Amino acid sequence: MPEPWTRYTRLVFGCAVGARADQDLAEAAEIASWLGLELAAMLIEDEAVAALGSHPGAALLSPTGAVQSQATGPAMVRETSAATRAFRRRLEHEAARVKLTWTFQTLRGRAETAIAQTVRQSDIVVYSEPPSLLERDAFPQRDLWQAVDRSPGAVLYRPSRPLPARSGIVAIAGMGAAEASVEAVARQLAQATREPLRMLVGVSNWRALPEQWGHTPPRLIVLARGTTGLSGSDAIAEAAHRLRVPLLVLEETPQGA
Amino acid sequence: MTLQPSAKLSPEALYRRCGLEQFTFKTTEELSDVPQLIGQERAFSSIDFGTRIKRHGYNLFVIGTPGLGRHTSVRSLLEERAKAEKPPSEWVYVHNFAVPHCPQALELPHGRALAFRDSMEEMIDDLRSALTAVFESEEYQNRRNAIDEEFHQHQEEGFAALKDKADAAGIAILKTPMGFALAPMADGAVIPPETFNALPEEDRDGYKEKIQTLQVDLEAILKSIPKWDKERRAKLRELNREIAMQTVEQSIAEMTDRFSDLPIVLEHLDRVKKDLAENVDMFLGGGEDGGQGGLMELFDEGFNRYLVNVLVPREDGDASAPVVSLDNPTMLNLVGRVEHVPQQGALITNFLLVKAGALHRANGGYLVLDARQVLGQLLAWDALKRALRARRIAIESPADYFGGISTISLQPEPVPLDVKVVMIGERWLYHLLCAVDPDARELFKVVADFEDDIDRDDAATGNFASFLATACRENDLLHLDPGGVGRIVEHASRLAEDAHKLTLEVGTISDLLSEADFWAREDGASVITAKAVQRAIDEQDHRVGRLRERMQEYILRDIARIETKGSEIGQINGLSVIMLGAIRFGRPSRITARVRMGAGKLVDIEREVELGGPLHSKGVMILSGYLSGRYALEEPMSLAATLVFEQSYGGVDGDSASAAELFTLLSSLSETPLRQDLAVTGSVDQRGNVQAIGGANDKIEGFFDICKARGLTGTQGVIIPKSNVQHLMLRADVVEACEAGQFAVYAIETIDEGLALLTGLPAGERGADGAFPEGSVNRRAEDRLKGFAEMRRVFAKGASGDDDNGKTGHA
Repeated sequence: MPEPWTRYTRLVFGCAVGARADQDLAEAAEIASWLGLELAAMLIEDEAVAALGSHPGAALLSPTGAVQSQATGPAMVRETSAATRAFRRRLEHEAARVKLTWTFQTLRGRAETAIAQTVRQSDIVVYSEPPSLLERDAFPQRDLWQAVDRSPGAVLYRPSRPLPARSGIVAIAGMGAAEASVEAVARQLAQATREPLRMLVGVSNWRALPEQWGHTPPRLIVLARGTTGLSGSDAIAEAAHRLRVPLLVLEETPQGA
Repeated sequence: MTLQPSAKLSPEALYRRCGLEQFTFKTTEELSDVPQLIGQERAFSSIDFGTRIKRHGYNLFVIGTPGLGRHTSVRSLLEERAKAEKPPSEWVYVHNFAVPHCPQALELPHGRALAFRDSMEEMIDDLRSALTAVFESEEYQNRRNAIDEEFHQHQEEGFAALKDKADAAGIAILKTPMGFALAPMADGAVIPPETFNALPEEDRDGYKEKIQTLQVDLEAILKSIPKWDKERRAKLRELNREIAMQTVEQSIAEMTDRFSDLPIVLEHLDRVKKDLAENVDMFLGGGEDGGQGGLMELFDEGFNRYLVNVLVPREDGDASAPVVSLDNPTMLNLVGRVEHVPQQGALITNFLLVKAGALHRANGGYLVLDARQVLGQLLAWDALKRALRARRIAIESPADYFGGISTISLQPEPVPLDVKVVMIGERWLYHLLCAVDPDARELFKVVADFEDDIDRDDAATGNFASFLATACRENDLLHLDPGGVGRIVEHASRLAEDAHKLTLEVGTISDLLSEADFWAREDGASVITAKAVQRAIDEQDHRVGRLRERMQEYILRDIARIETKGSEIGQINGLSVIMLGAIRFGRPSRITARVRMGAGKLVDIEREVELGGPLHSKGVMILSGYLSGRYALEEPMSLAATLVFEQSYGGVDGDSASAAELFTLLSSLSETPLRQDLAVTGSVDQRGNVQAIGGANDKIEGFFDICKARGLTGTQGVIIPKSNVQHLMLRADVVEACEAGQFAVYAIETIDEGLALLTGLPAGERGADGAFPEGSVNRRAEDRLKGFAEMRRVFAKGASGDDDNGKTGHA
């Protein structure tokens, strides 16, 4: 009988065209490699963003705040195409670096529905926190977040500013059927990274976690949804943001069980 | 046949034995060591002078034949002198904080460099752990988080207000590949363009107005972010500096105490302190602000920039001046190099990869180089000269010389040079170098010339025995009995090609000694006797004897024609020496001459086909002079003659066959047969005097071996110049055959003496009438020449011309 966590087959990494995702993609590729998963990279060409170039009511600004009055549809198409190529190159580089299998697809339409139609129960979906509140609340990131929130599979929450010099894997033991999966996934990660595994029991509040690891924060925390008071996606995302450590949140009921 | 008994050498003249009565020891074990090589007083005196004079350009060039023990004795002399000299300063390279690609050289007193390096390593290690702890402290983290939070708070507040405002106004904020956008929104989604266009104009205007307002707010926020971030980084830097410097100052203070007597180190520590203050982010794991980037980052190398590169580590106990020998004197091995390491496809370097060359290692002492190797290495000689002339070592890349594509590299600060270079080479090499490069004499003002041999007298023989005793002890060999010593002394004379000299080729003698030791032990002997020495000599000859034996075989099977009996007109046995590496032996060659009437031209066939060297050609031309001055003085020289080394297919050089060539020419001219059981060697001058040549022993033995193989007749022998008698150290079997009257060696001074020996006829002296005696060889020769002259006159009267080829015209 296979280990419970082996029922996960893909790590889904979705991001909007033009998002700065190099570090996120590199870390996602490493985690997929450690867990022996296929990396399914998805680049979303949001329909609303695509239409902005010819939208009579839209105003466009550069990242530094300069008004782009000359921005047109063709320019947007060119930028989108360049960003897609750059993402693809980066993906190929990271996949070669950590030696994993991968797929790449460009999804067009509204981000929320495009992702929702693609993600399966056996997927681990990556949510990379945008670097600023502005980007977090902007479309299509807003839609991406909705898609992650409704994802039927496990989710890897990656904070925008993870702590440097992290080492080791922390598994937070919970109650219920997901406990075996948490332990198995954490063990697999520890083995692959050759870093220590710490099993934490009886952690009721995630805010107390830093006391557990002192000066050496873990590379990753594995937990089941509902443990340490983390049930909703907003709460989990805030925990990852505050702890500045990625959280791999597995479902209470192992997928496919 | 009339022989000239006075010319025949007695057996005693053929070999000078070593009188064993002069040796009072039973074995050489009783003899004391010789402190240095014997017979090299002049060279040692030069080396002593050269090493003591401390002036620019007074480097040494030790010249002499290979095998004289120059390297060993020079090294030994230099080491002895170095012991009495102070150890030199030590040089280290440190990072140049002002110009990163030019590492700085610091001079430290002897014995302090390693301590300085270790202290700096220790300090940086301590700082790394101490600062890591400091930066991980709760206090630091809290202060840092406060700064970060302040920044993010700024952003978040601005963004949150904007988002609320946008949501309330029904405006969507979008992130695009080109930046941000504001667009009208309805039901949580952007209103598509066609729907927007279908809206009433006032609704569209309303949206546009709201967007304009929000756009101003968004612009302001986005433009403020870089400013906030700059402020954040400045605050972080200040915090880091404040936290770090408390620890850094303490560590630097400890170092300052340890090296308070070295101002140059204190200055460097001051620079380190300033740099640490500016770069404490390194201790935070790289820092999120990045380094200087690009080229500067390659040179900086993070923490490594504070380390110390000791060019030549010297141990505490090493308290003498260095004596360095360089076996492979490439340019880089001489002046040092800047090494590179590959990193992600690029070649990276820093001052820690600056490697010392032999000049660095020998700085303050002596550097011993083999001249041939230095001159054989591309750029090495030029690099050495530049360093000696400038009196500093500048590390340069060979690529700089060729002006091609140059890699980005370091330019380490040159190190002052104070070294005595001792080049060891052969004489011809030194003289050639001086001829083609005037710098050679300027930079190597002292020449130490090693003798090839010494006079063989009792004192020298005694010293030679002591030298053998030393060699036996140093090489752990059996000692020699007096007979063994005597045989080696005799062989040393043979190697010197002079019965009155002893070779100083200590390498060859040491080899013979080792091999004699081997054969003595094979025989179970406890000392090396003459028998073991002779066995070693014979075995050496045997090992290299294949070619000699093959050539003798060709002669004995008449493939190469050499007559050893009877008489022939215009044919003689000349003698030559074959030298190929360690192989050396004598070989007879058949020389023939043909004459006819002509215009006085002597044709050297070897020269015509470009097989004859210049010395050989000179020898043949001298023959013309001899003939012109000796015969038919009142007649024009009307001779055409050809001379050739028969069955010679290689080059011929030297004039040692000129006497033989003259004999065969005179034989052909006088139509007088020459004895074929004699071989001849010797050069001749225009007056007919026979002069010394080289290789007399080998040549005699070469002809002897052929005669012996065919059966000694008692009439066979070799004619040599009288001035070569002093060189004779012939093989024992040759001497024994001479003693038994089976073979003979004749010494002559003039061509006439040789003619008498070779023809059995008197050569003939001019009488009062100016004519040679009737029947003499010279008379015959002169008459023939006169005949040619007469014939030429006859032809000249009726011919329109003639030439050397004998063509005649018709009236």
